[in-house]
Amino acid sequence: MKNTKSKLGCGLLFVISIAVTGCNGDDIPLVGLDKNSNPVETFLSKPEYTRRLNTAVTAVNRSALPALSHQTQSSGYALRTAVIGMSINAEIGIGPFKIGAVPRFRVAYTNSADPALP
Amino acid sequence: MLNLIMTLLQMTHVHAAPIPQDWFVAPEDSVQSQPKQTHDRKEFETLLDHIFEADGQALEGVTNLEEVVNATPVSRPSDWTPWHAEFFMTDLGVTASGTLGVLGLKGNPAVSLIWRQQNEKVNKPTLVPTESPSQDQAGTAIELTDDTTQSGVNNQVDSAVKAVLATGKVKDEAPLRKNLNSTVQRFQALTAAMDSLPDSLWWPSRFRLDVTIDASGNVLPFLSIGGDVKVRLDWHRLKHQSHLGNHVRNVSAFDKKLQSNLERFIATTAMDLEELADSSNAPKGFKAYGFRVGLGFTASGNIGIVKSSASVLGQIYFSRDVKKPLPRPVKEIGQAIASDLPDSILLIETKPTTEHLKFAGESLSSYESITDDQGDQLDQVAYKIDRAKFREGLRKALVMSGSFTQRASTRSVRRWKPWELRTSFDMSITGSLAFATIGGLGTAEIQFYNQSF
Repeated sequence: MKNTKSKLGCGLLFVISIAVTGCNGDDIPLVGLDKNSNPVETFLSKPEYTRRLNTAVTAVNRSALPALSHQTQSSGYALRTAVIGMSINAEIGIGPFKIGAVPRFRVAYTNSADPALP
Repeated sequence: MLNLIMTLLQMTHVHAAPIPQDWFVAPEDSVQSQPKQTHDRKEFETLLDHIFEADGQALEGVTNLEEVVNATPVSRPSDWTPWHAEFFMTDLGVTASGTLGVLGLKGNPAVSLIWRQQNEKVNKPTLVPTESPSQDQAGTAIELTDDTTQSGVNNQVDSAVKAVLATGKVKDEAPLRKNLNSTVQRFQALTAAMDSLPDSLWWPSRFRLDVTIDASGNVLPFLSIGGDVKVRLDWHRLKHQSHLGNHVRNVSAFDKKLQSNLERFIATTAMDLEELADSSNAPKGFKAYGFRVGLGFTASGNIGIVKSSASVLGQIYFSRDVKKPLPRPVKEIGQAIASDLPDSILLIETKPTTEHLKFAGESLSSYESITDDQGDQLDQVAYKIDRAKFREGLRKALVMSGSFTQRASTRSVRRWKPWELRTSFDMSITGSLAFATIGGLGTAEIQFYNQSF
């Protein structure tokens, strides 16, 4: 009886440790400030981080390129470079992100072979 | 059993690879900080490798990064190409407890990495986009060079006034126009100081001032947290003989003194920045080509570096052309003006804490309270920092930056590769530099480009 209880305890401990672990140490920490400027930290698994960033960049790309393609020249000025990123309230098709759980990035688009960047 | 459980739970905690405490905590703040954490360099490098690898994989997975052109435009510039993604920028942040991670949507970066596609023709390091005045609100920019005529300046001011009025947040045009014109005139007077300097290894390439305009049309020489309108004034030096004084009129005696002191500050800082160009300190794989620092001034017109706050005078960028041979040896230039250069620089802090004042009293030769033009004491202090300690701080900053550039330079992906890296710092009363934390403000920045791109 005592042995059985001991084995059950170890087994339960094993299951708990596996459940709590759930990762292989490749997690990427995300840091930032929430809407009240309080620091926040969270972790994403590397595959999840890559997926979120890829999805976000793709979303920016899909909206930016068509919009830039339709730019017309006016007042003697031509748009040559545009820097686009995500806003805090952005939703990108897979539901609203929790503040701090979206890696920040900017993409600079240009229609010049030799861009004069700002 | 309980000990075993606790051990297992500790083993499951994801290590966040804290960075050395003196990398993000200034000595004057160390008594307030948390207990020292041990720094595992291997863990730190592994974390950076994971982050950079994940960023690279995310980029490689993005398709259709170029516009599909159905018809060639009838009229187009000679350098026209279809719209395409040229640069990709990500940030790393450091929390007040020393956790290094990818920066989320809000917070100030300690390290910024700029990626570029390797099949792009690259002949020289180019300026990459910098942040807009506010992430939450679009701003207005006035851009000047040493070639801008006075009518060009007037046109830009006019456009800026119209843009500000269009926001609806400022109703009265007359005070807005008057105050903005006055700000631009002072800005031009200061940039005239940079126009006149001879070539040196490091030369002032840009001067930037971000201002806030309140509802009454007053121009405040800093960025506020709030819904006010922001305007950015940018001056670029085109690195040729300037037309000193062409558009600067009616410069006040105080502004003339600021000009003179700014010239001296630039000359001494350009010499101190030699530490960043010293090959023995250079981080592996990357080379420093730019340095940015925020400036403030005292009521007596002395110029200094600002600490942990928005600058009240502007931000100055130093550049060096890493591929061009020197027109003259730097030592020769330095010796010509060295006799008149101060042996210390000023660090200006707004609302200093009693701990900082106590620390300064114990460790510095002197510091002074700052007063306004009427002699009333302001909530600002100017610490006198030994220039040798400032140079030592630059060397340390180079070593800290090297920890990041070393990992970034080893990245190897199909299309995208790190092109530039920038590290942001706040200056300590001791002259040392520490990484800007997510809730802080980096008043100094070093820019590197990847030599092995």
